[in-house]
Amino acid sequence: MPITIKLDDLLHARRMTLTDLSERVDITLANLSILKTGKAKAIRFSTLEAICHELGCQPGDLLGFEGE
Amino acid sequence: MSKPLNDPLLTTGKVVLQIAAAGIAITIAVAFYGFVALFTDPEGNLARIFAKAPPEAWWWLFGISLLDTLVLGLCLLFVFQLVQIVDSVGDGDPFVPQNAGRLDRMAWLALAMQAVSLAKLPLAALLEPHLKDFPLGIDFSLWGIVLALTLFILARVFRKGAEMKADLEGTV
Repeated sequence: MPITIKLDDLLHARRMTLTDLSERVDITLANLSILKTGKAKAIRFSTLEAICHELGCQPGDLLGFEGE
Repeated sequence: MSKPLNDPLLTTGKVVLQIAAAGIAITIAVAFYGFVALFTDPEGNLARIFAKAPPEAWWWLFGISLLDTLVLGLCLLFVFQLVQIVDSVGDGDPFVPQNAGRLDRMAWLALAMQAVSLAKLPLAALLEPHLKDFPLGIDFSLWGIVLALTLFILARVFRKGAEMKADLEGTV
């Protein structure tokens, strides 16, 4: 899929683990792991809002597009 | 993860369908026995009924009996598919591609039953005048086609439902 998730980079930059983020945004670790590994088919606005709020970033920082 | 449902309607439905399947299976067995008995009747009851009928009448009756047995067999397969759908609803997970396939198969079975009933009509028309004291009571309705169309549409609904469920499961 040409849409990429840059959650790993954002977490690394903030010295935060996926478990920490999971506790702060109240989303299961399993779901965040699906998102991080690019296996998610869709993302809710509420999820995007919670992650951006906790990581202090914009949706564009989390999502990328890799065209051909 | 879906949990199995404890629904009295589903339980009743499943019991009724299992009784229906057993009833159809017994009817097929009895019909087959009656079929053999009729055509090998030493007292010649059939010969008396067909006293004034042409010799081909035996074959027309044979054809009608065979087609009736075929309808019962198709009906049994239809009930088996329905039992599997009821089971999946009971498991709490009805929107799966397998159920769409089952509904498609049920629709084709309904069409096949309709086609077999249609094929019986000319044989019945040939035979009926020779059976004045023994009416066959064969009639024809188009409800099978309506049922098949309904099932084809429901199969589409279930296929779409299964796709939507897969999408939802991939939503974070």
